[in-house]
Amino acid sequence: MIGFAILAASTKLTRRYLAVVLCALLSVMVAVEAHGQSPELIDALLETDYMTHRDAAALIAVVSAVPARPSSRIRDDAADQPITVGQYSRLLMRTFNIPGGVLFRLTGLPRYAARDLAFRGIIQGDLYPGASVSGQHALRILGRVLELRERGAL
Amino acid sequence: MATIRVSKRNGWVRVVAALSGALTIVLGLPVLHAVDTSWGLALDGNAVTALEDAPPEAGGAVTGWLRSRVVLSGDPVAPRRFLDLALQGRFQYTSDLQFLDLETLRLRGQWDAIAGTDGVLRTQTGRFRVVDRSSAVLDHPLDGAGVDLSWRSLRVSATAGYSGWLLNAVSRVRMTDQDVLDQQNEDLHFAPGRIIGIARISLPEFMRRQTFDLELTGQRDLRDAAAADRLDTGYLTIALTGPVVPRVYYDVVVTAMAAADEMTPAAHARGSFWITGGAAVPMRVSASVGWASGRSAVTAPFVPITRDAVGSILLLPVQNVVQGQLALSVRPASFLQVSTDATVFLIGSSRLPDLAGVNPAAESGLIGAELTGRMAIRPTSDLGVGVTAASFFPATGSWGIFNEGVTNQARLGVEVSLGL
Repeated sequence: MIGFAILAASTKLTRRYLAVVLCALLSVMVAVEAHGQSPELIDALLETDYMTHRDAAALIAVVSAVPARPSSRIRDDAADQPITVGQYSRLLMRTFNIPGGVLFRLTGLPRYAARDLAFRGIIQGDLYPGASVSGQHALRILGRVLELRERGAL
Repeated sequence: MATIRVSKRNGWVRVVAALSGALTIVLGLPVLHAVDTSWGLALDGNAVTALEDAPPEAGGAVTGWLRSRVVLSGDPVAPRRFLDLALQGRFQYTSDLQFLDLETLRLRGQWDAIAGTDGVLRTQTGRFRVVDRSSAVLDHPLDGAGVDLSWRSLRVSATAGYSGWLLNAVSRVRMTDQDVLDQQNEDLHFAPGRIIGIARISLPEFMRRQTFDLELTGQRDLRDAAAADRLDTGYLTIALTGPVVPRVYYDVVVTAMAAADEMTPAAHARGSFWITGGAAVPMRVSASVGWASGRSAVTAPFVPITRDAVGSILLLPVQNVVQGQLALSVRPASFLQVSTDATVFLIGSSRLPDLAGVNPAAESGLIGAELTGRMAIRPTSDLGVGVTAASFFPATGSWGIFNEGVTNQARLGVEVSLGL
């Protein structure tokens, strides 16, 4: 349910869908509040152009109630650095135990994590693993992961 | 002396090219740092056997690609305005041919809200794949430029390109016998030169989600005007496509062709229906009929710009042929796709095709039938395996165009791909 709501909330705020998106956003807030978590974080992240590693881990923990499992390759001083699509994909794959392809299992590199999520339809559009992740983009990706988990497809 | 001059010129060319390359890299590094970049390598191997005494033919390819993008405005996932550069090269290896080919080198741009409307302008230049509406006339990379302007209810596009900088070994732009002979000439590095242009007007979903296309394609042979076997042609295509009822679709494409030195017109037509099962039942069933004209009292032979073949064993040119096909494709699991099709071939005019075993006195127009089965397994994002089995059943005796004794042919192919 949360996955569907986030998907709806993170789509472009065009005039036509504004009412739908506002309702969906409200349902996200209610769902998050019901878990005793911070709707302000979601609100702030929707406005973010560049998510950091710390933001990404907090987002996953708040929305899914699953503690994020960052890679040991990320140094502590990099927590406030912008996270890339590839790094965010790797964080999601580790946190939700999403099975990876041959090369991700062998190397654990972010570019292969991003490719695996694109293969599963979780990341859509042109894939640039080194690109930064906006808040809306991160929410959309996380929404698809949760949706597939709810359907038992992950 | 001439050899020395050529050598010196080549030396200067190399120096200038190296300096230009180095300068581009030095100047480009700061820019590259600011753009999104993605790259990859794909290793492909394949083996095909005719299931006879001959050993299987094996081959392989290494494909490398690089994509860079600058987002000018909009969401990074679906930008409204952007520039992107795509580069793709391939090293192909077979037992009798090895070559390195530049398949794509394209700079593309997109700008929305043109002149304050909902119009979107897309441009591309460099080497890129050009496909006509029917895909029967042209489906090939060309060096050129294209522009596409689209609104909600109208789309206009134009593309022009040149075929003479493509490698002779890989070019399928073969329209005349001379073009085919040139392909065997190892002294020719580049393909026959032709200027090709396409202009298209589309009315997307103008009525009940039906889409109408009107397209004009032309090509001019750049050989000497006095050369024998020159061929300049033009094609007019009309197409209509859309849903009949939910999950049932159709596509009808009719192309008329005119050649500069031929008064009789040629034509190609194709109609297809398909039914999809939707997300709950991932399957597709389709039926199609196609016709390419041959020499007759009212038609000339259809000559496409790209020389492709119909059938996977028969390999007839798209000329003087009628084919009817039933196909089924099913996806029982997310990693598995299975498809099968049955195709019947007939001659498109009273003339018999140039095939081994044809009975010159044949009265029937039936060529034969092909059955094909394919299975594609993609367990992970980077690993894929495909198996294709095909069989051709010639129509013999009074049934068809072949002599008695012409036997069935079969073919089995296996492909493996790994993405790095």
